[in-house]
Amino acid sequence: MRRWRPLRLVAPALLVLVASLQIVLATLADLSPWLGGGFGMFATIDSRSERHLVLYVDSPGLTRQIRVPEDFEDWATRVRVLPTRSRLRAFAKALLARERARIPGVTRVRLELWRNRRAPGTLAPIESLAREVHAEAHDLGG
Amino acid sequence: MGVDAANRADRAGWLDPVELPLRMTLAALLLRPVGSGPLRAGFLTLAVLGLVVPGLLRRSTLWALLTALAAFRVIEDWPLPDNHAYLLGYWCLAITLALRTGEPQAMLALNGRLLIGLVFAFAALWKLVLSPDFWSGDFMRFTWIVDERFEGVARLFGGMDPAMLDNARAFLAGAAGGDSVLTLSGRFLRATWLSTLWTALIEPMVALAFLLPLARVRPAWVGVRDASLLVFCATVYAVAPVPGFAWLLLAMGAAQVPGDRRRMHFGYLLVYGLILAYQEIQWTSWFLPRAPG
Repeated sequence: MRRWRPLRLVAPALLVLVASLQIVLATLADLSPWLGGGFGMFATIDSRSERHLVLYVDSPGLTRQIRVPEDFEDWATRVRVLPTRSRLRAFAKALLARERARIPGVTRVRLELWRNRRAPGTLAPIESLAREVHAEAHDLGG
Repeated sequence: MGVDAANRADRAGWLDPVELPLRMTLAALLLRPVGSGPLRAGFLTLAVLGLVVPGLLRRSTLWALLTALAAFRVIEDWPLPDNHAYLLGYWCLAITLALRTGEPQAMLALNGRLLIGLVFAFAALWKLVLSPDFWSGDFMRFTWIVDERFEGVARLFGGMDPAMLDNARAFLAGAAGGDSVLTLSGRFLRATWLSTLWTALIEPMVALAFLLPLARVRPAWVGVRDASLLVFCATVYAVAPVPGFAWLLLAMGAAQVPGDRRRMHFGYLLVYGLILAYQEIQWTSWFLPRAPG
Protein backbone atom coordinates (compact mmCIF):
# COMPACT_ATOMS: atom_id res chain seq x y z
CA MET A 1 0.00 0.00 0.00
CA ARG A 2 2.84 2.35 0.86
CA ARG A 3 4.04 2.34 -2.75
CA TRP A 4 0.57 3.48 -3.83
CA ARG A 5 0.15 6.01 -1.07
CA PRO A 6 0.89 9.07 -3.24
CA LEU A 7 -1.79 7.93 -5.70
CA ARG A 8 -4.53 7.71 -3.09
CA LEU A 9 -5.72 11.23 -3.73
CA VAL A 10 -5.13 11.55 -7.48
CA ALA A 11 -8.82 11.38 -8.47
CA PRO A 12 -10.11 13.84 -5.81
CA ALA A 13 -7.19 16.19 -6.57
CA LEU A 14 -8.05 16.09 -10.27
CA LEU A 15 -11.68 16.94 -9.44
CA VAL A 16 -10.59 19.96 -7.37
CA LEU A 17 -8.23 21.13 -10.11
CA VAL A 18 -10.80 20.89 -12.92
CA ALA A 19 -13.64 22.35 -10.85
CA SER A 20 -11.47 25.30 -9.77
CA LEU A 21 -10.45 25.91 -13.37
CA GLN A 22 -14.13 25.81 -14.35
CA ILE A 23 -14.93 28.55 -11.84
CA VAL A 24 -12.10 30.67 -13.27
CA LEU A 25 -13.33 30.12 -16.85
CA ALA A 26 -16.96 30.78 -15.90
CA THR A 27 -15.97 33.99 -14.13
CA LEU A 28 -13.44 35.36 -16.59
CA ALA A 29 -14.36 33.81 -19.93
CA ASP A 30 -18.13 33.39 -19.58
CA LEU A 31 -18.10 29.58 -19.69
CA SER A 32 -21.62 28.31 -19.02
CA PRO A 33 -21.79 27.41 -15.30
CA TRP A 34 -23.57 24.17 -16.23
CA LEU A 35 -20.54 22.84 -18.10
CA GLY A 36 -16.82 22.36 -17.65
CA GLY A 37 -16.74 19.99 -14.68
CA GLY A 38 -17.42 22.52 -11.91
CA PHE A 39 -20.74 20.95 -10.83
CA GLY A 40 -22.67 24.15 -11.45
CA MET A 41 -25.59 22.28 -13.02
CA PHE A 42 -29.08 23.17 -11.78
CA ALA A 43 -27.64 26.31 -10.15
CA THR A 44 -28.49 29.08 -12.58
CA ILE A 45 -30.75 29.97 -15.49
CA ASP A 46 -27.68 30.74 -17.62
CA SER A 47 -27.55 27.49 -19.59
CA ARG A 48 -26.63 27.09 -23.24
CA SER A 49 -30.24 27.56 -24.35
CA GLU A 50 -30.17 31.09 -22.93
CA ARG A 51 -27.44 32.16 -25.37
CA HIS A 52 -27.79 32.39 -29.10
CA LEU A 53 -25.82 33.54 -32.12
CA VAL A 54 -27.06 35.94 -34.79
CA LEU A 55 -25.10 35.92 -38.04
CA TYR A 56 -24.96 38.59 -40.76
CA VAL A 57 -23.28 38.19 -44.11
CA ASP A 58 -22.29 41.34 -46.04
CA SER A 59 -21.96 41.56 -49.79
CA PRO A 60 -21.59 44.88 -51.69
CA GLY A 61 -24.88 46.71 -51.11
CA LEU A 62 -26.53 43.85 -49.24
CA THR A 63 -26.56 42.52 -45.68
CA ARG A 64 -28.26 39.17 -45.10
CA GLN A 65 -29.09 37.56 -41.77
CA ILE A 66 -28.47 33.82 -42.02
CA ARG A 67 -29.13 30.82 -39.84
CA VAL A 68 -26.25 28.78 -38.47
CA PRO A 69 -25.47 26.30 -41.26
CA GLU A 70 -26.17 22.69 -40.35
CA ASP A 71 -22.51 21.68 -40.59
CA PHE A 72 -21.58 24.53 -38.21
CA GLU A 73 -24.20 23.79 -35.53
CA ASP A 74 -21.94 21.74 -33.26
CA TRP A 75 -19.20 24.37 -33.46
CA ALA A 76 -21.76 27.11 -32.81
CA THR A 77 -22.89 25.35 -29.63
CA ARG A 78 -19.29 25.13 -28.42
CA VAL A 79 -18.83 28.84 -29.11
CA ARG A 80 -22.06 29.75 -27.30
CA VAL A 81 -21.06 27.97 -24.10
CA LEU A 82 -17.54 29.43 -24.03
CA PRO A 83 -17.72 32.63 -26.08
CA THR A 84 -14.18 33.97 -25.88
CA ARG A 85 -13.29 36.57 -28.48
CA SER A 86 -10.76 34.27 -30.16
CA ARG A 87 -13.27 31.42 -30.43
CA LEU A 88 -15.92 33.76 -31.83
CA ARG A 89 -13.45 35.16 -34.36
CA ALA A 90 -12.29 31.71 -35.45
CA PHE A 91 -15.93 30.77 -35.98
CA ALA A 92 -16.64 33.96 -37.92
CA LYS A 93 -13.59 33.43 -40.15
CA ALA A 94 -14.56 29.85 -40.94
CA LEU A 95 -18.09 30.96 -41.71
CA LEU A 96 -16.78 33.73 -43.98
CA ALA A 97 -14.62 31.22 -45.86
CA ARG A 98 -17.65 28.97 -46.28
CA GLU A 99 -19.86 31.80 -47.53
CA ARG A 100 -17.19 33.08 -49.93
CA ALA A 101 -16.88 29.60 -51.41
CA ARG A 102 -20.62 29.70 -52.12
CA ILE A 103 -20.90 33.39 -53.07
CA PRO A 104 -17.55 34.96 -54.13
CA GLY A 105 -18.81 38.54 -53.54
CA VAL A 106 -19.19 38.11 -49.77
CA THR A 107 -16.94 40.61 -48.00
CA ARG A 108 -17.70 40.25 -44.32
CA VAL A 109 -19.35 38.12 -41.66
CA ARG A 110 -20.63 39.72 -38.48
CA LEU A 111 -21.43 37.57 -35.52
CA GLU A 112 -23.41 38.60 -32.46
CA LEU A 113 -23.77 36.62 -29.26
CA TRP A 114 -27.03 37.45 -27.47
CA ARG A 115 -27.85 36.43 -23.95
CA ASN A 116 -31.26 36.06 -22.40
CA ARG A 117 -31.21 37.39 -18.90
CA ARG A 118 -34.24 37.37 -16.64
CA ALA A 119 -35.68 40.26 -14.68
CA PRO A 120 -35.42 39.32 -10.99
CA GLY A 121 -38.79 38.23 -9.64
CA THR A 122 -40.81 38.58 -12.83
CA LEU A 123 -38.57 36.37 -15.03
CA ALA A 124 -39.31 38.69 -17.96
CA PRO A 125 -36.78 38.04 -20.74
CA ILE A 126 -34.17 40.75 -21.20
CA GLU A 127 -32.07 40.20 -24.29
CA SER A 128 -28.65 41.77 -24.28
CA LEU A 129 -25.83 41.78 -26.78
CA ALA A 130 -22.91 40.10 -25.02
CA ARG A 131 -20.26 40.02 -27.76
CA GLU A 132 -19.85 41.10 -31.34
CA VAL A 133 -17.05 40.17 -33.73
CA HIS A 134 -16.58 40.28 -37.45
CA ALA A 135 -14.33 38.69 -40.01
CA GLU A 136 -13.42 40.38 -43.28
CA ALA A 137 -12.06 39.01 -46.53
CA HIS A 138 -8.51 40.21 -45.81
CA ASP A 139 -8.59 38.23 -42.50
CA LEU A 140 -8.60 35.05 -44.53
CA GLY A 141 -5.24 35.80 -46.13
CA GLY A 142 -4.21 34.11 -49.37
CA MET B 1 -20.12 -11.29 13.77
CA GLY B 2 -16.76 -9.49 13.77
CA VAL B 3 -15.60 -7.20 10.99
CA ASP B 4 -13.27 -9.81 9.48
CA ALA B 5 -15.90 -12.53 9.61
CA ALA B 6 -18.43 -10.22 7.99
CA ASN B 7 -15.93 -9.27 5.31
CA ARG B 8 -15.17 -12.93 4.59
CA ALA B 9 -18.87 -13.71 4.35
CA ASP B 10 -19.46 -10.75 2.08
CA ARG B 11 -16.54 -11.59 -0.16
CA ALA B 12 -18.22 -14.87 -0.97
CA GLY B 13 -21.45 -13.17 -2.01
CA TRP B 14 -22.70 -10.38 -4.19
CA LEU B 15 -22.52 -7.93 -1.30
CA ASP B 16 -18.73 -8.02 -1.34
CA PRO B 17 -17.81 -4.49 -0.18
CA VAL B 18 -15.32 -4.04 -3.03
CA GLU B 19 -17.34 -5.66 -5.81
CA LEU B 20 -20.74 -4.18 -4.97
CA PRO B 21 -19.84 -0.56 -5.90
CA LEU B 22 -18.03 -1.79 -9.01
CA ARG B 23 -21.12 -3.72 -10.09
CA MET B 24 -23.32 -0.72 -9.36
CA THR B 25 -21.06 1.43 -11.56
CA LEU B 26 -21.13 -1.01 -14.49
CA ALA B 27 -24.88 -1.49 -14.14
CA ALA B 28 -25.28 2.30 -14.34
CA LEU B 29 -23.40 2.27 -17.65
CA LEU B 30 -25.82 -0.33 -18.98
CA LEU B 31 -28.97 1.31 -17.63
CA ARG B 32 -28.04 4.74 -18.91
CA PRO B 33 -25.51 4.34 -21.74
CA VAL B 34 -23.11 7.24 -22.19
CA GLY B 35 -21.26 8.66 -25.20
CA SER B 36 -22.18 8.02 -28.80
CA GLY B 37 -21.05 5.83 -31.69
CA PRO B 38 -17.95 3.68 -31.07
CA LEU B 39 -17.44 5.28 -27.66
CA ARG B 40 -20.85 4.12 -26.48
CA ALA B 41 -20.18 0.64 -27.88
CA GLY B 42 -16.89 0.57 -25.97
CA PHE B 43 -18.52 1.54 -22.66
CA LEU B 44 -21.31 -1.01 -23.12
CA THR B 45 -18.95 -3.83 -24.11
CA LEU B 46 -16.64 -3.26 -21.15
CA ALA B 47 -19.59 -2.98 -18.76
CA VAL B 48 -21.09 -6.27 -19.96
CA LEU B 49 -17.72 -8.05 -19.86
CA GLY B 50 -17.03 -6.75 -16.35
CA LEU B 51 -20.36 -8.05 -15.12
CA VAL B 52 -20.37 -11.48 -16.77
CA VAL B 53 -16.74 -12.64 -17.15
CA PRO B 54 -15.59 -14.19 -13.87
CA GLY B 55 -12.72 -12.30 -12.26
CA LEU B 56 -12.75 -9.42 -14.74
CA LEU B 57 -14.63 -7.11 -12.38
CA ARG B 58 -11.56 -6.82 -10.15
CA ARG B 59 -9.04 -6.43 -12.98
CA SER B 60 -7.57 -2.94 -13.02
CA THR B 61 -7.11 -3.22 -16.81
CA LEU B 62 -10.89 -3.16 -17.32
CA TRP B 63 -11.16 0.00 -15.24
CA ALA B 64 -8.14 1.61 -16.89
CA LEU B 65 -9.87 1.14 -20.25
CA LEU B 66 -13.08 2.65 -18.88
CA THR B 67 -11.05 5.58 -17.48
CA ALA B 68 -9.46 6.08 -20.90
CA LEU B 69 -12.86 6.07 -22.61
CA ALA B 70 -14.28 8.50 -20.05
CA ALA B 71 -11.28 10.83 -20.42
CA PHE B 72 -11.49 10.67 -24.22
CA ARG B 73 -15.20 11.51 -24.06
CA VAL B 74 -14.53 14.63 -21.96
CA ILE B 75 -11.54 15.85 -23.99
CA GLU B 76 -12.99 15.11 -27.43
CA ASP B 77 -16.28 16.86 -26.70
CA TRP B 78 -14.99 19.67 -24.46
CA PRO B 79 -16.55 21.98 -23.26
CA LEU B 80 -19.90 20.30 -23.88
CA PRO B 81 -19.81 17.17 -21.66
CA ASP B 82 -21.99 17.41 -18.58
CA ASN B 83 -20.62 16.96 -15.09
CA HIS B 84 -21.62 13.31 -15.03
CA ALA B 85 -18.96 12.61 -17.69
CA TYR B 86 -16.21 14.09 -15.51
CA LEU B 87 -17.38 12.25 -12.40
CA LEU B 88 -17.42 8.94 -14.26
CA GLY B 89 -13.78 9.54 -15.26
CA TYR B 90 -12.65 10.39 -11.71
CA TRP B 91 -14.44 7.38 -10.25
CA CYS B 92 -13.09 4.91 -12.85
CA LEU B 93 -9.59 6.32 -12.23
CA ALA B 94 -10.03 5.86 -8.47
CA ILE B 95 -11.17 2.26 -9.01
CA THR B 96 -8.23 1.56 -11.34
CA LEU B 97 -5.74 2.79 -8.76
CA ALA B 98 -7.54 1.08 -5.87
CA LEU B 99 -7.46 -2.30 -7.59
CA ARG B 100 -3.69 -2.03 -8.04
CA THR B 101 -3.12 -1.61 -4.30
CA GLY B 102 -3.12 -4.30 -1.65
CA GLU B 103 -6.03 -2.61 0.10
CA PRO B 104 -8.65 -1.82 -2.54
CA GLN B 105 -11.49 -1.51 -0.04
CA ALA B 106 -9.76 1.21 1.99
CA MET B 107 -8.80 3.18 -1.09
CA LEU B 108 -12.23 2.88 -2.68
CA ALA B 109 -13.80 4.01 0.58
CA LEU B 110 -11.50 7.04 0.83
CA ASN B 111 -12.01 8.05 -2.80
CA GLY B 112 -15.77 7.44 -2.73
CA ARG B 113 -16.09 9.60 0.37
CA LEU B 114 -13.92 12.44 -0.93
CA LEU B 115 -15.41 12.50 -4.43
CA ILE B 116 -18.97 12.70 -3.04
CA GLY B 117 -17.97 15.40 -0.56
CA LEU B 118 -16.24 17.46 -3.23
CA VAL B 119 -19.05 17.13 -5.78
CA PHE B 120 -21.53 18.42 -3.23
CA ALA B 121 -19.17 21.13 -1.99
CA PHE B 122 -18.72 22.56 -5.51
CA ALA B 123 -22.44 22.14 -6.28
CA ALA B 124 -23.31 24.03 -3.08
CA LEU B 125 -20.70 26.70 -3.83
CA TRP B 126 -22.29 27.33 -7.22
CA LYS B 127 -25.84 27.42 -5.91
CA LEU B 128 -25.30 29.43 -2.74
CA VAL B 129 -22.40 31.73 -3.60
CA LEU B 130 -21.67 32.01 -7.31
CA SER B 131 -25.10 31.79 -8.92
CA PRO B 132 -26.95 35.09 -9.32
CA ASP B 133 -30.43 33.56 -9.40
CA PHE B 134 -30.61 30.42 -7.26
CA TRP B 135 -31.26 31.92 -3.81
CA SER B 136 -33.91 34.28 -5.13
CA GLY B 137 -35.93 31.27 -6.29
CA ASP B 138 -35.88 32.51 -9.90
CA PHE B 139 -33.91 29.49 -11.10
CA MET B 140 -36.33 26.93 -9.70
CA ARG B 141 -39.39 28.84 -10.94
CA PHE B 142 -37.87 29.15 -14.41
CA THR B 143 -36.79 25.50 -14.53
CA TRP B 144 -40.10 24.05 -13.38
CA ILE B 145 -41.80 25.94 -16.21
CA VAL B 146 -39.30 25.64 -19.05
CA ASP B 147 -37.73 22.21 -18.53
CA GLU B 148 -40.31 19.69 -19.72
CA ARG B 149 -38.78 17.03 -17.46
CA PHE B 150 -40.20 19.00 -14.52
CA GLU B 151 -43.70 19.27 -15.96
CA GLY B 152 -45.07 16.52 -13.71
CA VAL B 153 -43.96 18.20 -10.48
CA ALA B 154 -44.95 21.65 -11.76
CA ARG B 155 -48.48 20.30 -12.22
CA LEU B 156 -48.64 18.11 -9.13
CA PHE B 157 -46.99 20.34 -6.53
CA GLY B 158 -47.22 23.70 -8.27
CA GLY B 159 -50.84 23.37 -9.34
CA MET B 160 -50.09 24.35 -12.93
CA ASP B 161 -52.29 22.97 -15.68
CA PRO B 162 -51.09 22.38 -19.27
CA ALA B 163 -52.59 25.63 -20.55
CA MET B 164 -50.96 27.67 -17.76
CA LEU B 165 -47.62 26.02 -18.51
CA ASP B 166 -47.96 26.76 -22.23
CA ASN B 167 -48.70 30.41 -21.50
CA ALA B 168 -45.83 30.69 -19.04
CA ARG B 169 -43.46 29.12 -21.57
CA ALA B 170 -44.61 31.53 -24.25
CA PHE B 171 -43.95 34.44 -21.87
CA LEU B 172 -40.47 33.19 -20.98
CA ALA B 173 -39.68 32.68 -24.66
CA GLY B 174 -40.57 36.32 -25.25
CA ALA B 175 -43.52 35.38 -27.45
CA ALA B 176 -46.25 36.85 -25.26
CA GLY B 177 -45.85 40.50 -26.20
CA GLY B 178 -44.04 43.37 -24.49
CA ASP B 179 -46.67 44.37 -21.93
CA SER B 180 -47.53 40.89 -20.67
CA VAL B 181 -46.82 39.83 -17.10
CA LEU B 182 -46.24 36.31 -15.80
CA THR B 183 -48.65 35.57 -12.98
CA LEU B 184 -47.78 32.55 -10.88
CA SER B 185 -50.02 31.12 -8.18
CA GLY B 186 -49.04 31.23 -4.51
CA ARG B 187 -48.97 27.43 -4.54
CA PHE B 188 -46.44 27.35 -7.37
CA LEU B 189 -44.27 29.99 -5.67
CA ARG B 190 -44.35 28.10 -2.36
CA ALA B 191 -43.53 24.76 -4.01
CA THR B 192 -40.57 26.12 -5.96
CA TRP B 193 -39.30 28.02 -2.92
CA LEU B 194 -39.50 24.85 -0.82
CA SER B 195 -37.58 23.01 -3.52
CA THR B 196 -34.93 25.77 -3.52
CA LEU B 197 -34.66 25.68 0.26
CA TRP B 198 -34.41 21.89 0.43
CA THR B 199 -31.61 21.83 -2.15
CA ALA B 200 -29.82 24.68 -0.36
CA LEU B 201 -29.94 22.74 2.90
CA ILE B 202 -29.24 19.18 1.84
CA GLU B 203 -26.32 19.80 -0.53
CA PRO B 204 -24.03 21.54 1.99
CA MET B 205 -25.09 18.96 4.57
CA VAL B 206 -23.94 16.07 2.35
CA ALA B 207 -20.70 17.94 1.59
CA LEU B 208 -19.92 18.47 5.26
CA ALA B 209 -20.90 14.93 6.26
CA PHE B 210 -18.54 13.42 3.69
CA LEU B 211 -15.64 15.85 4.03
CA LEU B 212 -15.42 16.25 7.80
CA PRO B 213 -13.34 13.56 9.55
CA LEU B 214 -16.36 12.28 11.47
CA ALA B 215 -14.82 8.86 12.15
CA ARG B 216 -12.09 10.54 14.18
CA VAL B 217 -14.16 13.28 15.80
CA ARG B 218 -17.49 11.53 16.50
CA PRO B 219 -17.59 7.92 15.20
CA ALA B 220 -21.28 7.67 16.08
CA TRP B 221 -22.02 10.39 13.51
CA VAL B 222 -20.58 8.50 10.53
CA GLY B 223 -24.09 7.23 9.75
CA VAL B 224 -25.06 10.81 8.90
CA ARG B 225 -23.12 10.38 5.66
CA ASP B 226 -25.23 7.51 4.39
CA ALA B 227 -28.45 9.00 5.71
CA SER B 228 -27.87 12.39 4.07
CA LEU B 229 -26.82 10.94 0.71
CA LEU B 230 -29.68 8.43 0.59
CA VAL B 231 -32.24 11.06 1.57
CA PHE B 232 -30.79 13.44 -1.05
CA CYS B 233 -31.01 10.81 -3.80
CA ALA B 234 -34.47 9.56 -2.79
CA THR B 235 -35.94 13.07 -2.71
CA VAL B 236 -34.08 15.19 -5.27
CA TYR B 237 -33.99 12.56 -8.02
CA ALA B 238 -37.74 12.00 -7.65
CA VAL B 239 -37.98 15.47 -9.16
CA ALA B 240 -34.72 16.01 -11.08
CA PRO B 241 -34.45 13.36 -13.77
CA VAL B 242 -30.69 12.64 -13.92
CA PRO B 243 -30.47 8.95 -12.96
CA GLY B 244 -26.97 8.34 -14.35
CA PHE B 245 -25.50 10.89 -11.96
CA ALA B 246 -27.54 9.48 -9.06
CA TRP B 247 -26.35 5.92 -9.68
CA LEU B 248 -22.72 7.05 -9.74
CA LEU B 249 -23.18 8.83 -6.42
CA LEU B 250 -24.80 5.73 -4.95
CA ALA B 251 -21.98 3.47 -6.18
CA MET B 252 -19.44 5.79 -4.56
CA GLY B 253 -21.55 5.96 -1.43
CA ALA B 254 -21.72 2.16 -1.21
CA ALA B 255 -17.93 2.02 -1.58
CA GLN B 256 -17.38 3.98 1.63
CA VAL B 257 -19.66 1.74 3.73
CA PRO B 258 -17.60 -0.69 5.83
CA GLY B 259 -18.07 -4.37 4.98
CA ASP B 260 -19.69 -5.15 8.33
CA ARG B 261 -22.66 -2.84 7.65
CA ARG B 262 -24.56 -5.04 5.24
CA ARG B 263 -27.87 -3.37 5.98
CA MET B 264 -26.52 -0.08 4.72
CA HIS B 265 -25.43 -1.77 1.49
CA PHE B 266 -29.03 -2.92 1.11
CA GLY B 267 -30.09 0.68 1.71
CA TYR B 268 -27.92 1.84 -1.18
CA LEU B 269 -29.30 -0.90 -3.44
CA LEU B 270 -32.83 0.00 -2.46
CA VAL B 271 -32.37 3.67 -3.41
CA TYR B 272 -30.54 2.57 -6.59
CA GLY B 273 -33.71 0.66 -7.51
CA LEU B 274 -35.88 3.59 -6.49
CA ILE B 275 -34.03 5.86 -8.94
CA LEU B 276 -34.66 3.28 -11.65
CA ALA B 277 -38.34 3.31 -10.74
CA TYR B 278 -38.43 7.12 -10.90
CA GLN B 279 -36.91 6.85 -14.35
CA GLU B 280 -39.24 4.20 -15.69
CA ILE B 281 -42.50 5.19 -14.01
CA GLN B 282 -44.00 8.64 -14.45
CA TRP B 283 -45.14 8.57 -10.84
CA THR B 284 -46.51 12.12 -10.87
CA SER B 285 -49.09 11.05 -13.48
CA TRP B 286 -50.73 8.77 -10.91
CA PHE B 287 -51.93 11.82 -9.04
CA LEU B 288 -52.81 14.05 -11.97
CA PRO B 289 -56.16 14.13 -13.78
CA ARG B 290 -56.12 12.27 -17.06
CA ALA B 291 -56.61 14.21 -20.28
CA PRO B 292 -60.17 13.79 -21.57
CA GLY B 293 -60.69 11.30 -24.39
